[in-house]
Amino acid sequence: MSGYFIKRLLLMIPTLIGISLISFFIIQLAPGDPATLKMGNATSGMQNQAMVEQIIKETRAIYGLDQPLYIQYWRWVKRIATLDFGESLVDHRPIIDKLKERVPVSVRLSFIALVFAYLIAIPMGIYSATHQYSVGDKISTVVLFALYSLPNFWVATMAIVFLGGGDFWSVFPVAGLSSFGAEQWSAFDQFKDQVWHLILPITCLTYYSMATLSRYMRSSMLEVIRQDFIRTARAKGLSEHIVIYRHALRNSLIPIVTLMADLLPALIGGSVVVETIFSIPGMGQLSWESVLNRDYPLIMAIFTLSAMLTLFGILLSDFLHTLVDPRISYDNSAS
Amino acid sequence: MRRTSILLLSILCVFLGASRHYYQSAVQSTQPVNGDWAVVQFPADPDGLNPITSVNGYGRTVEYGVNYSLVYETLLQYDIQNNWRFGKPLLAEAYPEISPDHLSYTFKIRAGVKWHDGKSFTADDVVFSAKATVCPGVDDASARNFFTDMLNAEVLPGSKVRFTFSKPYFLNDVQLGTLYIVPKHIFDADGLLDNLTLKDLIGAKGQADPNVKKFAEQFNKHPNNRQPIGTGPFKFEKWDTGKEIRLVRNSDYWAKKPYLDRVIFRTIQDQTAALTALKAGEVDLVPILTPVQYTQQTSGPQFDNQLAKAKYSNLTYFYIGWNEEKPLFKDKRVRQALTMLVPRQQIIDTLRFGLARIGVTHFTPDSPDFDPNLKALPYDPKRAGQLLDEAGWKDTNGDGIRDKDGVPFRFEFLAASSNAFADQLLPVLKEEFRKAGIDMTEKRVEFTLQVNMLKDHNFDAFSGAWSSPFNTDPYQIWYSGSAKDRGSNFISYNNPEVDKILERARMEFDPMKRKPLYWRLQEILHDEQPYTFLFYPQNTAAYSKRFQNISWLPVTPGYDLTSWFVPKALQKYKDSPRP
Repeated sequence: MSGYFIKRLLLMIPTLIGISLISFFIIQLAPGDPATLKMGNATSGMQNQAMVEQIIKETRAIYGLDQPLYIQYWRWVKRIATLDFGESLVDHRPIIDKLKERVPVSVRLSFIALVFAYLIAIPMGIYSATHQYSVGDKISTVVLFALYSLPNFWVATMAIVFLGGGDFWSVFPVAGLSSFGAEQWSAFDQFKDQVWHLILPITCLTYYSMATLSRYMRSSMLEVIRQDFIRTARAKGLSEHIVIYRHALRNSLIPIVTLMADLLPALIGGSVVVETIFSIPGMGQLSWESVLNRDYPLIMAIFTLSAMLTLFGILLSDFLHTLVDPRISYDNSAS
Repeated sequence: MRRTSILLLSILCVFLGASRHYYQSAVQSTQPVNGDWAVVQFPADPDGLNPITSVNGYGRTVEYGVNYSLVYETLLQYDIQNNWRFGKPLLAEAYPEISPDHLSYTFKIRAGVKWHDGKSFTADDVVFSAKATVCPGVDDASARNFFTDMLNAEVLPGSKVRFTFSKPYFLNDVQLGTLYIVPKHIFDADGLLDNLTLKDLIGAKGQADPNVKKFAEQFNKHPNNRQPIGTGPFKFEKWDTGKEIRLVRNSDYWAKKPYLDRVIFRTIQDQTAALTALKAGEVDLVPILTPVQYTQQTSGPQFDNQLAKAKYSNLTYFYIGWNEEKPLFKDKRVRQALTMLVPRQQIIDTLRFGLARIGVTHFTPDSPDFDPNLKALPYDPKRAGQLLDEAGWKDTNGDGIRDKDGVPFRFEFLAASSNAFADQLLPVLKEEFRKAGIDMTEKRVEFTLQVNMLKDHNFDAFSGAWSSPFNTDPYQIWYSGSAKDRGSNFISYNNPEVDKILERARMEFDPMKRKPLYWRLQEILHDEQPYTFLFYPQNTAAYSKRFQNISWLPVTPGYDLTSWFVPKALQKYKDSPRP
């Protein structure tokens, strides 16, 4: 068993190299380059165009973009091997500093949203499955499909317009994660303030994934409770509660556990839409801006980080499979 | 669940309601007093707060405000009272002495000015800043671009600085007057550049010296690039990335001190959220509203009670460029006809809700060089049809599309996919052109790709906008040579008379003599219609009524926080707000 996971861990190294190689070359294919962007569209000045091109060339040299691509890639590999992400081309700040600012914000947001999504989705899915075609099931189906089809930028904007203290109700703040000047308040006030700021963005992040998850849960539960072993359990005279929660639940969780592979990268990935609308300085924003700015080292850092987390996520979900389903084993000798 | 959420809702309502009528009894006062803060909304964080290396406009606003004086300051500034003439002394004692050949400029540096950390501001700081700007390896493409003809900068006895250039240029006083000045004792504490003159730096010595490389690396990532130390009326206090930038009143400021205790630039990206935050009292100024917000979402008693809105112009024009390399647009009658087919007033009224003035020429109506005698061509499809007929474009095969020598009048309109204005403009154009027998199709590409296509002249027509300061040189846009080498003459405009005018104007140092040249330029552009000048947009803002002494200016960002004040009775912030 442990041998298997060590093998998997080692396999991640060539996979990561492959991913980084592809992404490194793909981002260079996008038109535009950071040096030209830095020059902007300045049109006054005595300069002739040849001089402008010369300055752009020099700027590319500052960024190390004057070297052939394979050398740039090799330099990047050497740096990343020492876990050095390099510096951003936009402001020359170490990328690690930028990530340190942003990752906690996104992790907190996504973590809370995911916990809520699972906490609501799993019981709801179980209820719908065990009460199939009941009024409750039908209502939840309709509501979930409605939620599933509402785009979150629209929901977020409506929430701001109606609940943000504009022309309607003043219930929630509309921007950021803390009130203006909150850093001087007592710890308890700061906590209250943060919760108050988190409610709208968390809601917008939660409802969609909750809707999807609970549909998964419902269908997988339905599949499980129709199987023979459940009928046997019932025939043994076990109470419905034990049948569902001890025997059916664990089996029906397998597809949900598979979905967890995406969780890790999603945790730090952030959401561009929600972060932009609620002005939350998280990873979604940072990734978006890094692409617009053609900030190659930052893009690569984010790619590498999410590639690593995706690979770990897949490994983790494989491991979790063995926990929820004893039939799954990665031990060679057992098979 | 439901009950608790309603309870929570009502508690929050009471809690928020308490702070909402703090200036019901507005006392009108004209006597400026100190105190209070202004919270200004920003749609994004700056890329840095070192003026030499930062490029984005939000950074510029924090660094220099509207007239080169907020955290940092420059040698000269605009004289707003004197028709925006540039050259009012700021960190210089006076306008520079200029040698008769217009190659050397000598500034006397103002005495008694202190950096925010208490050190004295000296001529060395000025020369150092010029050196840093041209220093090889410093990542400041757009700043160094303005000083490619500078030969040297040196300190002279008596707190003087002399700059020398290789060529005379009419804007050199402006470039030097707005040279970005940063403190030498902060950015070059070890004196790495001390043994090198500016002349050395731009020569072979600068390329070779290891100290230069070391300095450039330090300078590019200096911690004070995010914590500016300037000489201006406001001191930098802190920057929370993605949240706010805080400035505090400089009580030791050398000139007239500002009234506000603090200025906060708060990052709120979403336009709807920004206006909502203003209405909720979380911010005091939203500097740019969308036209819909200005016309439809900023009125009513509730709004008028606490907030006001304003219109202000800026030095920008929107245009359609016709690529003259394409045979279709070579004939000026065709271009005149195309302009007459664009219903500009209707576009302004419907797409911009009336918040623009119709476009006439390259200079905006606020510019001293604008020629008021020119009148925009009318929307006149009939006359346009005649012009097209005259130019030989007739529908000979009856397919509804004009043709000439067997070639149908068909072209592609290039626009960036992120260009929301084009989403609305292009259908209007398409329809108007179709009625006149012209087949227009859209080509939407990503923004950076569009820039490349424009520079390569690889397009038929496109829509763009130019923004320029008051003192501007139209050379880069209209000079025939600027079409080569990927310059800003995207449409390959080529008129020998215009070339001559542009060359003469940039060697003419008397603004009154430059004016007739620029009027002639505008006459030619009006006749030839290389662009269809669409409109001069107006910006709109909304702000809290408690502020007094507000004026709206035609240069970015449009507002001058150093003049704002709040009457004592209306002041909102003293220390940090309470929970």
